[in-house]
Amino acid sequence: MFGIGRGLSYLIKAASFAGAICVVLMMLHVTADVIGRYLFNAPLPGTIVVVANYYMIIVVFLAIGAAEEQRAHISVDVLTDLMPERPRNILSIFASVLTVAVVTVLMISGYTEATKKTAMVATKEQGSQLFEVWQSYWFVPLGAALMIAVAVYQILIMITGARSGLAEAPEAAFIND
Amino acid sequence: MTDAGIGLTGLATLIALIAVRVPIGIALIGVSFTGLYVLMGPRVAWGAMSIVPYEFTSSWILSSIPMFLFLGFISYHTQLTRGMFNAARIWLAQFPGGLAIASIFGSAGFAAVSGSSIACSAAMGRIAIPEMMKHRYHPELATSTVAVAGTIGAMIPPSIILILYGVIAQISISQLFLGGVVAGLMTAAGYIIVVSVRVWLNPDLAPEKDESVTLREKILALRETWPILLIMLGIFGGLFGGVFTPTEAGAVGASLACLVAIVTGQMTLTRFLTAARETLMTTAALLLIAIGASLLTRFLALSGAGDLLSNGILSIATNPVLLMVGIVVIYLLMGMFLEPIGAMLLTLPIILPVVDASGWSLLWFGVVLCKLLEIGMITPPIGMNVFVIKSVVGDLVKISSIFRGVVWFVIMDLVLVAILCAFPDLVLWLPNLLD
Amino acid sequence: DQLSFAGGWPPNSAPTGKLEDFAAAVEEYSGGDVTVKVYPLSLLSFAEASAGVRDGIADMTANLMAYFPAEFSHFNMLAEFSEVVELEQFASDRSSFAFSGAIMEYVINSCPDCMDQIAAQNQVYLGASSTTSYVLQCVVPLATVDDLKGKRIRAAGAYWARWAEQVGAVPVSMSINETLEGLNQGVVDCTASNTADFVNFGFIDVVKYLYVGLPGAQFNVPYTMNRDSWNSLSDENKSAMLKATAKLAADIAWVYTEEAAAGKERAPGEGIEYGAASEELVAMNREFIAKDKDAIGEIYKERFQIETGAAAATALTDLMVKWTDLTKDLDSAEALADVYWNEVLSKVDVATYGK
Ligand code: NA
Ligand code: NA
Repeated sequence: MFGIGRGLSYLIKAASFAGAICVVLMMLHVTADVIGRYLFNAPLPGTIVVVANYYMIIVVFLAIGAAEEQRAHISVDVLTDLMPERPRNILSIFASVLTVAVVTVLMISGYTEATKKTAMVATKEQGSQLFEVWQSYWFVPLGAALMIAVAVYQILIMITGARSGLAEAPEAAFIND
Repeated sequence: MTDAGIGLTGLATLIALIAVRVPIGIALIGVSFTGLYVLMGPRVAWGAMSIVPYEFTSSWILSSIPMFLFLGFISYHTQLTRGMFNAARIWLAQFPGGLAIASIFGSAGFAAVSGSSIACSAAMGRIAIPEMMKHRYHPELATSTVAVAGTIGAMIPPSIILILYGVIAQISISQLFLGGVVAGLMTAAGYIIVVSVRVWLNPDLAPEKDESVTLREKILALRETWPILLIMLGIFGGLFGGVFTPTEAGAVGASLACLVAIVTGQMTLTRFLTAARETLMTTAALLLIAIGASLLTRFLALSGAGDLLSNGILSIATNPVLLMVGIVVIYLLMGMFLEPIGAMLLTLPIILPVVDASGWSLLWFGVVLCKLLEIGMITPPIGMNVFVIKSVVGDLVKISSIFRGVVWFVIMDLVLVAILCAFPDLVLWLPNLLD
Repeated sequence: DQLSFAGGWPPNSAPTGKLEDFAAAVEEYSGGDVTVKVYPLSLLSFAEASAGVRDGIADMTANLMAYFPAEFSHFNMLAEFSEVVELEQFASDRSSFAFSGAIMEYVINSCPDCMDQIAAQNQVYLGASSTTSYVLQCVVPLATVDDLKGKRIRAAGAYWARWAEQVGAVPVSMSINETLEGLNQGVVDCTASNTADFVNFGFIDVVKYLYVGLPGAQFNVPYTMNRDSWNSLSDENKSAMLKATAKLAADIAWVYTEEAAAGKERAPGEGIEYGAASEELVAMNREFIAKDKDAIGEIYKERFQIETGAAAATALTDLMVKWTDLTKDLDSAEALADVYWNEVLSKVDVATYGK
C-alpha cells in the first residue's frame, strides 16, 4: 500500500514538474512574442494557439491530480468543522467517492473527444499557418486518470488506516520566512 | 417534474453537496452533468462534458490568470514586495490599519493593469497578506480586505466584464471604462473607510503601529520600493505605450519580475520553481471550479430555472425603486453561486430590455451591474476571490472566517450601489465630460 | 417539436434579433408544428457551437467553420474565394448578398465533399450568410503600397494574414475583444475587419481612417442543424425549416449591410476618413486577388489533399455573375429571402437531403 502511494507520488511529481515547466514556457513564449512584434516586427507564429491549446490545457489538466494530492481543491468547511470526527470522516469518504465518479465521467468524455480529434487530425489556424492541436486533447483524460488514481488511493487509506505513501500537504511556510 | 423544477432541484443539490465539503468544482460538474442527463438525455450530458472543459480552458484571455498569479508568486518569494510594504507601513504608520489600507491602494494600482478580479486578488494576496500577518494583523481582516479589494480589478479598466457588457448592450466600451474608473475609485474609498472604522472600533485587529516616524525615515523607505514600482511602471508603460495587450501584460510582468529578482540577487532556482508550482496548483484549482460554473450555466439555461428566478422577481416589481431592488436581489442571489460572466450572460437577455424600457442609462446600468457581479465574487458559498485568498493562505485561515470578514465590506458595497442608483451622474459625469 | 438555436452573437445584438425572427418564421411556416427557442451565447459559444450541435446540446447554430480548419476544409476553401467580391465587376457595398447566394448554391448543388464533411460532424447544412467585406480600419494613414510595409495589422483569418504577409505588413493575431484596446494603445496600426464590426466592436471610437476595397474578402456564416433532429422532422417541416433559413440568411446578410451603412454615415461626424483606398492600393489588391485565387487551391491541395480548388474558383466566379445580377436591385431583406428560397433552397429535395 505504502509502495503504491510512493509510486503514485513520483508520477504526480513528474506531472507537476511538466506543468510548472509549461507555466514558465507560457511566460517566456508570450514575452518573446511581444518583444518580437514590438522591436522586430516579427511576432512568433502561433503564440495564441500554443498558449491556449497547449500550455493552458497542460497547466490545468496535468495539475488537477497534483492538486488532489495536495488537497488544493477548494471546498467549504463551515458545516463539517462543527461535526465530530466519525461523521466527518464518512463525509470525507463520500466526497472522495463523488470525486472519483465525476472525474471518471470527465476522463471518459475527454477520451472520446480526444479519439475524435485524433482521427480528424484537428488543427487550429493562426495567421496564415495551421497548427496541429489534436495531441493536446489527450491531456484531459490523462490528467483525469491521475486525479482518479489519487482519489481512489486516498479512499483506501481512509478505510484501511494504512500509512499513506502520498506527499503531505506542504506547510504554508511563507508566512514565517 | 418540470424542466425548471429540475433546474431548481439541481441548485438545491449543489448547495447540499458544497455544505458537506464536496470540492466545489466537483459538485458543480457533478450536478451539471446529472442535471443535463435528466433534462436532455445521455448524449447531451456526455457531449457537454466532452466539449466544455477543453474549450473553456483553452482560452487565450484566461491565460492572463496564471501569468498574473506567477507575477505575484515570484514577487513574493523573491521578496520584491518587502520594501514596498515597509514604505507603505511607514507612510501609513499614523493610520490605524495602515497596511490593510495600503493593500487597497495596491489593488487599485493592480486593477489598472489587470482585467479580472481574480488575478488582482491573487497578485495582491500573495504580496499583502504575509506582510499583514507578520505585523500581527487579525487574519480575518487581512484576508478579507485583500479578497474584496480584488473586486476593484474588474471595475477600474481594463475590465473583462465591462468589455463583454459593452459588446452585449452595444454601447461604447471606452465610455463604460470611464464610468468604471469612478465606481472603482469610490469602491476603494469605501473599503478604506471600512478598514478605518473596523480598526477604530477594535484596535486589536491591527495592533502594530509605529508612532515615531521621521520624514527622513519616510524618504529612506521609498528607496526600497523600486522593484515593485519598476514592475508596475513596466506594465503601465507597456500597456499605454502600445507594446502589449492586457492579456499579455501578465506574462511580460512576470518576466520583468524575474529579471528584477535576478538583479536584486534574490532569485534562486528553488524560489523560481516554487513560484511556478504554486501557480500551477492555484490555476488548476480555480479553473476546475470555473469549468464547473460554465457547465452549470448551460444546465440553468436549458432548464429555464435562471429565467424563472429572474422573471419571478421582476414580476413583483411595479415601480423603479422596487425594480432596482429586485435587480439587486437577483444578482446577489445569482452571485452567490455563479461566476459573474456566466451570470451576466444568463440574465442580460431578460434584464436589458427591462432597463431599456425603464429609460435608464445603459452605460450607468453596466457599471452598477459590474459592481453587483463583483459582490458575487466575495459572497458565500462560491466566492472566487475568497477562494483565491484561501489558496494563498492555505490552512492558516479558515474559509469561513474570510467570509465573516467580508460581511463588513459587502455592507459598504450595498451602500455604494445605493449611492450609484440614487445619483447616476456620479457614473456618467466623466464619460459625458470626455465625450 | 421544440428545437433550440444556440447563437454566438450577444443578446440584444441585431443578429440575435434576426434569430428571434427566424424562430417566429419556423413556427409560421410549419403551421405551429415546430417551434424554436433561441439561446444567445448562454448555451454555446462560437468555439463550442459545432461540437455542441454534433452532440445535440443545441439543435441548430450559426457554425463558424473557420474555427475548425480540418473538420470543414472544403467549406473554408470556398469561403476564402470570397476575395473575388473585390474584383471590379462585383465590387459593391452589397456584394455579400451575391456571395451568400453563390456559396449556398455551390455547396448544396455542386460540392458532394462538403456534404460528406458536414455529415461527418452529424450535421446538415441549411444555408449561409456572408458578412460585409473586410476593410482596413487604421489609426495611421495609408496611401501607397510603401505605406503598408511593416504596419501591424490585426488579421482575423488565413486570408487576411496571407494578404498582410504578401504586402509586407505584419499580421497580428488577437481576439476580437482585445482589438479595440490594441488599436487604442497602438499595439496594432490597423485591423482588417468587416464594415459592420466597425460599429459593433467600437472601432469607430478609435480609428481615424477606413479604407474600402482593401484587403477584401468576407467571413462566411453557415447555419447547420443536428442530423438526427433534422431527420425527425416531416418533409413538410423540413421544407418550412429551409424556407425560414432562406429568410435568416437574407436577414443576417442584410443587417450586416445596414450596420455598415450606419457606420459609414456616422464616420465623418467622428472625424474619420471613410472611403475608397487609393487607386494604387486598389490596383495592387486586385492583382493580389487574381494570383491568390490559384494560391488558395494550391494551399488546400497541399494541406488537405483537396483537388477541386481551381474548378471551385471558376464555378464560384461564374455564380457571382449570376448572383450579382439577381441581387443588385433588391430593396428589402424579404425580397432577398425570396431569391434565396426560389433559386436554391426551394429546390432541395427534402425527402433525401441530409438523410
Ligand atoms: Na482592471
Ligand atoms: Na458568490
